[in-house]
Amino acid sequence: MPNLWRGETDDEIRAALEVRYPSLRLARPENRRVIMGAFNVQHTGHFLGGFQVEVLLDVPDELGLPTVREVGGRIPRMPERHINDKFGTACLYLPEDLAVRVREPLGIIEFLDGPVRNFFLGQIGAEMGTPFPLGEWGHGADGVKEMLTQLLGSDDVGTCVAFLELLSRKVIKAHWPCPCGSGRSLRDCHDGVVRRVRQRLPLTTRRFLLERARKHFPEGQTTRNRP
Amino acid sequence: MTPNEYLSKILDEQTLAEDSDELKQLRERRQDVEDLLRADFGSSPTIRYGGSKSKGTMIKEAYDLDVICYFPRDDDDAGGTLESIFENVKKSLAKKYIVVPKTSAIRLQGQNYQDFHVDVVPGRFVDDNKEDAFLHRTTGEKKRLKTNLDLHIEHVKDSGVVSSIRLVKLWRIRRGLSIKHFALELLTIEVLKGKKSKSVDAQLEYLWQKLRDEVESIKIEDPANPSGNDLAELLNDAVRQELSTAASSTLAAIDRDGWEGVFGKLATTSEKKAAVIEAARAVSAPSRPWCHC
Repeated sequence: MPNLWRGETDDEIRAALEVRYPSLRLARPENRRVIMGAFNVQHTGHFLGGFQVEVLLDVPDELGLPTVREVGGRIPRMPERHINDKFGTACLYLPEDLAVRVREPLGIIEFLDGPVRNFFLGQIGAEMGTPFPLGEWGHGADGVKEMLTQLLGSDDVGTCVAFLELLSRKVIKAHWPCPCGSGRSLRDCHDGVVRRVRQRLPLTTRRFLLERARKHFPEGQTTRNRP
Repeated sequence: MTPNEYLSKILDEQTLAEDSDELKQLRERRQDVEDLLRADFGSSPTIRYGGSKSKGTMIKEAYDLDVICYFPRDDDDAGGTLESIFENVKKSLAKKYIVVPKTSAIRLQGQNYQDFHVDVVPGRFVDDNKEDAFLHRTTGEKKRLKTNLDLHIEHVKDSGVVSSIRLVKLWRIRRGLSIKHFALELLTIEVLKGKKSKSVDAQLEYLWQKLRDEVESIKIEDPANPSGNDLAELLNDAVRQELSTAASSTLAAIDRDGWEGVFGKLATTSEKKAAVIEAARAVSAPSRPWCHC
């Protein structure tokens, strides 16, 4: 499983926040490490919106990144707004997608500047009637399927899983059957796709994608549509 | 545009129009709360607006509504103790809402945890004059707090610095400061005593200079109970330090970028919308929200 969190000391986090996000502060309530305060989204001098947040450094997600909560009650707790628990936990990103996009582990500022800011920018858009200008993933397994389709070029879950099974191997031979199910060898079929993904993603990420795909699409749902 | 004109426009942006959806919803919610409480406790409690709505310090960016529900001194229908009044009011509201107890209030949420921005404050009048009241405290050593809503309203309205209070409230929200609004309001009034003839920009700069340079010496007291309610914890060393640091960087921002450095550029709704789209276009590492439901 890829770990996208670059561990930083409290002092490093405090110093970074002071410069870039002075409205956030690192606190230690009940011995937990929590960044609290206002997360403000600004652009070219415009104040676009502010959200009261908690960034739970000790509650990592599947990528090792902190959990973020909107605690001011500004965002309705509903799946359409990508917040669906009473604590205001934000579904900032699709873990599979972030694992593919992020090459180096993130520090606190990269995390806040990236997925956190993107999320709240989208929320401001949603409030103004231009929802999620950066787009949004389908809910649950639908989003995973969309992402795998973009990565692997097949909208068939079974085929995607077969590709990921192949991609999770250390060694891949060109004479092996192509995972698309065409009956041709890899070299005569989807060799280009496999090469591209192998070059782009490390083995840990490819295995992570397989593990997650199996979780979202249990055995019975991955029957391949033969071409 | 002068700084004062700019700040006046910022205040306009932060004003909830009487016919705004937000105020309409709050009024409906208040009526709903009153209906619920009247059904259980009849006509005896005094139910009215408290907090920023009654003081005229409400801002759009943080428009929580306080509704007070004070029982007469000799009325035990809602409970014989302050704690039982608090619990019984909570129970009554819980018939329709998810209730979240705060220090002296009860926060209302919808069944899907949507925050309605409404706090109900149960209490009991001290005597038949129906002015001073006792509130139950759910935290801290002291379990009782004496207060007087009308005195608080008067204290704010008579201060002559309501515009500054509203802007300081906005500053607090955007800066994510941990000081309670009540304490910051008292502090603002205290520091700006004798400065009400100054322009709003001058008042704010003066306030921030005081916070930057002399924060340790500022004292606040609750006008409703000057000697009884100890506000020291609301203005402890950490809070003072945080205020001083924020004031210092705010003054630096004014020097560097003018007042827009503090409250941002003025913009119409369509300009803001365009800025959101432009900001999205400028994102170099896009990520999209998901939902693992």
